[in-house]
Amino acid sequence: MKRGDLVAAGIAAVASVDFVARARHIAELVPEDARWALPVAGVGIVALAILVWQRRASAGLVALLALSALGWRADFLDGGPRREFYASGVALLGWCMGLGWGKSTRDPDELEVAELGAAAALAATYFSAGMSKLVVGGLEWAGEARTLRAMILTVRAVADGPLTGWDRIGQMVIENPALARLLAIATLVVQLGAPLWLCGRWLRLSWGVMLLGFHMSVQALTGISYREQMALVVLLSLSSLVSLLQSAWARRTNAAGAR
Amino acid sequence: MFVAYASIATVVRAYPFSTFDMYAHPEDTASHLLARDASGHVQELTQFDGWSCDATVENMGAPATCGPLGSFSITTYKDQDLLRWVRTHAGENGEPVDIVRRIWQLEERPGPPTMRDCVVGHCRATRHP
Repeated sequence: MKRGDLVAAGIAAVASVDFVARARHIAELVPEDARWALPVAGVGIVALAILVWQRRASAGLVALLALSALGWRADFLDGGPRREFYASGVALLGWCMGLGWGKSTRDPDELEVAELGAAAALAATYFSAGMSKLVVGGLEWAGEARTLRAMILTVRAVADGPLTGWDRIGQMVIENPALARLLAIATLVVQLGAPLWLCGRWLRLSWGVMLLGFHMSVQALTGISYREQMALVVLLSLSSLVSLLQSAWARRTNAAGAR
Repeated sequence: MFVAYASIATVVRAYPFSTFDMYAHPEDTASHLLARDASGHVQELTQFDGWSCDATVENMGAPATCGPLGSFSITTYKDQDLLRWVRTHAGENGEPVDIVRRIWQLEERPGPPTMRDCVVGHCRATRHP
């Protein structure tokens, strides 16, 4: 199995988990909806299998439509979009577009193009998040950093009594605007620098570590978990590491052969 | 793909497109629904079950219950998640518990933010052991 196939299987696996989670969530909220949500999830998972085994971008788009249907319903029931569930759809869209582009240009490495498409779409989500902070909040978003403190207060668990572990650190951020400012600036750097994730294998690996660190910090401080997005960042960054190791191995083998 | 996604997301606001601007808007306030027992201690609503309330739980998330809209910020999905817990963990014979909206005012100074609690419902509930 090629590295590109493994990446495709990884994206499909994350999307499959998303299908199951979304369908279950909808069925819990409105039990009657299980009648259509579960079959739609089933169709989506079958489409993902076809995508992986036959490399058909059209199957990926069917899966994306199924994900969208579940996503729209869940967003309606939740009273708004839950962006932590967007990652698999974004990666799937990018992967399919990349595959379609690779096929249309008869690129011999169409899976590499598809992988780059998935990474590019995911990188765009970080960049968009960073840009929207600058456009909507301006430099004050980081300068005053009240939004970041408000976010921690809003979503983390609250209880009277002594704080421990990450809750204590979260409280330090809330009570210390200078610390919040530092974290806000780091957030902007990581998000606006996301295009670097697309610039070569070493940067894919190193910026992937930054993105993962960002998600882990958010999860520790607020409890907001972007598990799918983290899984995809790990997958695409590890793919780069594997590619680097393969190149190093090939160089070593060639050098040994030349001797 | 990078440019295409980022561009389309500024126009199309449908899955899977988004500018992920949920934490972009400047906020001077934050709020969180909590359970407050008779001694005044607060905990997450999820620390209790067996809920029975004297008002419709769905309405407890409405901003109007705590003053004019815009005087504090709410996170709709978070509120809905918590109130869904109350609805789906109904029961009887618990201790008196108020559901309060804790509202924090953030200022540009070190130290804990000022806060106030606004009661949005009188209930009874059973504390988890």
